[in-house]
Amino acid sequence: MKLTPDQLAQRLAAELGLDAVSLDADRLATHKIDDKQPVLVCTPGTRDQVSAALRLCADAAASVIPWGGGTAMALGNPPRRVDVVLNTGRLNGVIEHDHANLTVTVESGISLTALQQRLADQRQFGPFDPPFPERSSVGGIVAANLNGPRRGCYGSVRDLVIGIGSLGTLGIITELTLRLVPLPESVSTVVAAGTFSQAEQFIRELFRSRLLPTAVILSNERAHEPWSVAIRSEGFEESVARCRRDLDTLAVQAGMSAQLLSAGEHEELWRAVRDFPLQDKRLIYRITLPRAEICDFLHRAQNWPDTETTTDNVNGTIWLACAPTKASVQRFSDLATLARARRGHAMIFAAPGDLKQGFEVWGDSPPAFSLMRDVKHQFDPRGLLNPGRFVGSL
Amino acid sequence: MNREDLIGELKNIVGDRFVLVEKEDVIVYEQDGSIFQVMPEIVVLPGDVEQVSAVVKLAKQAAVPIVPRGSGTGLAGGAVPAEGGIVLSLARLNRILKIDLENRIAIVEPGVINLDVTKAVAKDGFFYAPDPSSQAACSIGGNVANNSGGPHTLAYGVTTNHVLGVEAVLDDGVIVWLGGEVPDTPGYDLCGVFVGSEGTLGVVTKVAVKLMQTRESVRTLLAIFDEMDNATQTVVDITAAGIIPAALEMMDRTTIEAIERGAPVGFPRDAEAVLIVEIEGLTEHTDRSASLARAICQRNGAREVKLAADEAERQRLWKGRKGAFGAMGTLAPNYYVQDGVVPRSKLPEMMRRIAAISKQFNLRIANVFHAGDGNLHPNILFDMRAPGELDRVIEAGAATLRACIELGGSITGEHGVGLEKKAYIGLLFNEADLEAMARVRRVFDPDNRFNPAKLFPTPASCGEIRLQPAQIPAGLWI
Repeated sequence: MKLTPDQLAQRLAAELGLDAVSLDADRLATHKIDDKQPVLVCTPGTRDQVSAALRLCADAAASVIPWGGGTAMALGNPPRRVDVVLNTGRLNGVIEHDHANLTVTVESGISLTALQQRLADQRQFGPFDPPFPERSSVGGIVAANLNGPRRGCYGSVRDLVIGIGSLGTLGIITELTLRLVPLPESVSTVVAAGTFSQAEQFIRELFRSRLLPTAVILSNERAHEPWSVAIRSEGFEESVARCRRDLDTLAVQAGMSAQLLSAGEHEELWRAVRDFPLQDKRLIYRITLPRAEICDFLHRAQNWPDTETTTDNVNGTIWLACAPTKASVQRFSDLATLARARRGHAMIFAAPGDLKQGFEVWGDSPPAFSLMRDVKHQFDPRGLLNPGRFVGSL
Repeated sequence: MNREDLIGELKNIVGDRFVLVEKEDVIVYEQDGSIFQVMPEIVVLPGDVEQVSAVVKLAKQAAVPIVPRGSGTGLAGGAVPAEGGIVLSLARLNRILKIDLENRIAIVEPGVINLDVTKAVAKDGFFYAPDPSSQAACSIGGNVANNSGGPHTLAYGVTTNHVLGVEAVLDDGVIVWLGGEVPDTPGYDLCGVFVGSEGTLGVVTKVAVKLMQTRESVRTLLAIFDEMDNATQTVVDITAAGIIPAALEMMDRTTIEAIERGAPVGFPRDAEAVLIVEIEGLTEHTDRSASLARAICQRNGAREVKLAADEAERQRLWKGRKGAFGAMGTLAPNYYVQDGVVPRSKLPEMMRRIAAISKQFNLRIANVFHAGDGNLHPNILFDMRAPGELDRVIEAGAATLRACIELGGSITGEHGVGLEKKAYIGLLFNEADLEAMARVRRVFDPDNRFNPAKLFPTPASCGEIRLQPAQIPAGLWI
């Protein structure tokens, strides 16, 4: 930085107002990224203020870490430098909800839960399922490309907005327009339990049927049987009832027991699935595969102690939560090799900062890495936005 | 490098037969489905990705533009060689390389015809969702370039939602995969950037597409209206009621007349508008959705709502819809189709504005469009031989685009910007927006040689490369 923290704070305060800048030690401590504390936290209140803040920080050669709800700060490589955290929390307005068009335009800092509450009046919702929606900001969901178990039914983050997944390394999102979906009349979850091979057969037959589940999750705890398959169905009462009947039949054919969850159990299960990727104090691997490869992959990788598995079988995503130890991190290259051999990829999705040191958490460099580096250079020539956190330490 | 040397080198790469330079050979590449035409200098038809790469490398060395071309069905001039150079036809890269039903993926070359993907998997109960009206002729590569949609876009999304990865040849001839066979490849979403880039970033040589499973049940309704306002309000109400049909298509009185003159399917010629409402899914879902949609049509004053009794009747309705563009020839020698979009909620207002534009410019306009998406296709009917008429048509087209933007919409839903709408893109995006796109362009195409003069606004007028009445060289057999 060319300026002292106080000098930068003064310049920011002069343009954005005193309440938009904080040097308070407690506040700085709550905005650490991988144990690195910023020198100041800036909270612009408007789109123009975001623009002004970025200009002033660039003039001062200060690095900027965008911060929405702060739920996904464990994602990515440890940043090279943390000067300013730009918190979008005050950009929390709904600009326009065109309910007849099934779209909403919002400011990026609004939390998903706050948005869903607004949309529920018109019996609509934004079909995202990121971890911790009560804190997760819409801009952060988009920047971090946080997809949930229902993406196969409603579309991925990329399908629901335009321009995503840059992890705040190209610019800061200030407004977004999202596609919405009508709230379903009925929702229910059936859980089938049995051995691994029974679960494998059940899932294969489920995908051969004409049923259109909104999510299918295969999970177990600590690599022990039984394995359970949770199937979520949404839609009209009679469609959901039909799914329940057919799922019972499929479970019986696979030799599994099937149970219809109560409303409370349903909520609890999907909250756990949703929050799984960003749980605290665990090392989380994400492996993405063509979906028919999942069971074979698990078969080879499941014999790990102290590891919970949650897989999204519609979308081909495996989440492994392991003990936050050196031994866990050292499994990375084996996992990546197994994934690559199946045309997929593996990454360390979240981990305590000290465990990430020395690892490229995104895995192998993508084939088009030089293009990505050039894109980054075009948008952020001085490398001040989230320096080092993205693929190849961009 | 002079022209003769360039042609010689190209022949070394792809073989003599696949380099076309004579006027009678290249004339078929002078146009696409738009109102623009430019006689190509050189047309090259490579047979594999290595040849594409070698041609692109050579073009860089010779500093000439490359204009990728699929089937030439585009409606915005995207495949017209506005600044000369090499027209690179991908027609020979037409193999389906892999079908993986368990993982619901196909890998195809760019010259594969859209409908052939579905045909290859239909017997196993799968389909490829994006279905442009030209799907029997248009290529997957062209669909990727234009991010094409179709009637079933409403429920299933456009091309970008169905492409997991592309293999592309970059400006220096390097062959690279962007995305892959699974989603969420770490890094910037360059596959997403490539889809819809209209040939300005590189040449697509393979495409990994998603396959979808055929639904258990399909219900197709035909609703007949005596008032356009009632038909458009029905579209708004169906969406607002939380029904997401697989397709929701509208045809107005003029379009019905064209269809019934051309290849009649039995649409009532005295109706002001007909709506096709198609619902797919489990039987329980389609039964209830269809009865809800029927009630909404009736509440909005539909004269009649018919449920297609069987697959044959359903196919007949779609034959009318998909044949509508071809049938325009029964009403006028030429038609010019626009592609604006408005929020669904603004559809009634937009259709009133189109009626006013038709009056103002004294031109007949036939509307056939993806109503559920708010994606309009006003077909302006005209006769190119009438002096000055094409100018009026273009002005009327521009008026429809301005109206779309005023109502919060866009200038293109699925046809692309190309040559046609580059003068209007500044109405939609400000300078900072366009600069952001230009930065991406510079990364991929620093010399501005991939499909130059397209997409980005340029001060030059397109007047000189507009369609002319047919001029067939003497002695040419056609």
